[in-house]
Order: sequence, then structure tokens, then C-alpha cells
Amino acid sequence: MDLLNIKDCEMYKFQLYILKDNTNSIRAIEEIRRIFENEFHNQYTLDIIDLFMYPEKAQENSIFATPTLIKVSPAPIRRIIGDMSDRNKVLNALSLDD
Amino acid sequence: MIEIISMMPNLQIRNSFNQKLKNLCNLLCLNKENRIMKNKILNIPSMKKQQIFFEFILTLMVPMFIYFFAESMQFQELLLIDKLYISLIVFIICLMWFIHRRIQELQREIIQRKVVENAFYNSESCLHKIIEKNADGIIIVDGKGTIRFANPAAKKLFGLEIEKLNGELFGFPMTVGETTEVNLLHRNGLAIISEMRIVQLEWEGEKAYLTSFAIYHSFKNQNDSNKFIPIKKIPKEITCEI
Repeated sequence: MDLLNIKDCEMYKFQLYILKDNTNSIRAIEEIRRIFENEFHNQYTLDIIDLFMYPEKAQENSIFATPTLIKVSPAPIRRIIGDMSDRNKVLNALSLDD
Repeated sequence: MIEIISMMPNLQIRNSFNQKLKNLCNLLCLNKENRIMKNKILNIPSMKKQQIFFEFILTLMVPMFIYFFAESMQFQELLLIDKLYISLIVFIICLMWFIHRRIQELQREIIQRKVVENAFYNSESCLHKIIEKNADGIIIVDGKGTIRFANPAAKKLFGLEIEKLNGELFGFPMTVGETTEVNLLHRNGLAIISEMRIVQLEWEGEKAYLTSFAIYHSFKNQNDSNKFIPIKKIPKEITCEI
């Protein structure tokens, strides 16, 4: 995987599904922001969706657990669950080839 | 912060489950029937190639020996029939004996195969029962995060039928070989704090991840306040009957 190629291409769009009052969700937001700021600078959008506020979104997008991070674009769509503190693991999981 | 209220009763449930799991193993995997089967497999002697070759040579040699013996001892006059016919009759008898031995060997192989098949079926059904009765939700996701297998406890945790769970995109579990805390979302609005454990394995020839969930406690969303409220007892519909 070449991370430089990923950074050079189009704008990245991510969605992070959380439950706001939970420590693991708060930690996930901090970690994801830290990783993305370092890797993509301002070349990404991160939608943080709180399932406290929008519980219907869980069913709409088949969210089974939080925190869940979805890479919406560019294709392919990738979805990761759990601890997102490891930069390399997160970036590898999000840019797996078909 | 949400208080973990119902952790203690849950631990009791898990301890009692472990005991029952042990009993189940004793009953299913180490029962008398299985021991007898194992002994049967060990007691069946396997026919070696050298033995078959020896029996074949014996089948040919005995009539030849009879022929030459009869000729050398000059029993021709004493016998009513020709020595060639005697040898031929002995050869047919030897051939029938050889065929009988081969049939016996085939029968032995069939029995052996049946015993092995039964032992395999029993051990598979034993493992299947352990997975089915496990209180922890177990799912297997492939390298892309798609659910390939779910047990009944997982069905109860997510509030979805196993058929619907299979093929759904769950997500790639991040911490392989470790445990992490996640919130599982039940279809009826419950959020369940759970410990997610991930182990890498091979599933149908592909790399996959066995993901199991142990429930800590759960809390429910109240539509009025848009807030999840901790509930004291985990409802029966999301816990596996033990």
C-alpha cells in the first residue's frame, strides 16, 4: 500500500458513528482526528454521526456497533470497528484493495 | 459516565455457563459410546500390501506344488482323475479363498470408514452444540468485514435473524488478537456495552476473524430525551438461555 498515492488523489469522505456519552466513542473521535490531520491535512471530510441523536441512522446504514468508521469515498467503501488508536492499522484497513 | 450496574449478575451467569459447558463436553465428547468407537478404530487391523502379495503367491504356488508333488511321487496310478484336474480344483479353491479374503478386507474397510464417519459426525455435532449454546455472541467476518457466520447468541445481541446477519457488512475488526470495548446496537433501540475479542482464523479457505462479544451491561434510548438510559437488568430477549 502506498500512502502517498492515497493522499494525492481526490478528497476523502469519512463517516464516524458514535454514541456520544461513551468514553470509547470520545476516544475514537480524538484518535481519528489526530490520524487524519496528520495524514490528509485538510483534504478530507469527517461526518461524526451521534446515534443518540439519530438512532434511525443505525438501521439505515446497517451499523452493528460503535465506534464504526466508514470510508465513503473514494471507492471501495471500507468499514472498520473498534479501537482506532493505531495509525498504521487504521490506514491499512481503510485502503484494502479488492 | 454511565454506571455499570448489572455487571455482577452477568458474571454469575457466565460462571454458571462455564460449568454447564464443562458438563456438556463431558457428556458429548467423552462419553462411553465415543470411547468404544475410538477403540474400534484402533482394533481394526489394516491389511498390508506385502500380505496381499503373499496370499496371491500362495494361491498360485499351492496348485503348482500339488501338481509337481503328484508327478514326482507318481501317484498317477492311485488317483482316479488326472493330476492336472486335481491341481485345477486346488487352484479354484485357492482362488476362492483369495477372493474371500479380499471381500473380508473390503468389509473391514467399510466398517472402519463408518466408524470414522460417526466419530467425525459426533465431534462436529459436539462443537456445533457448544457454539449454539454459547452465551457469548460469536460472528465470523471475512477480510472485507462481511459476516460469514453468526451463532444464536449473536442473533439475540443484534436483534436480527441469522439469515439476515449473514452477508451483512459488519466492519473490519481493528484489534486482532486483543480485546476492546464496543457498543453493540440492538434493533429494538438497546445499546449494549460489550467486550469484543478478535481471533484470526481460516474460514472456508480464506482469512477470517472470529469475533466474540461478552456483554457488560446495556442501556436504552429514550425517544423523548434522545439519551440512552442505563437499565438495571439485561432483558431476556438479548441474553442466551443457559
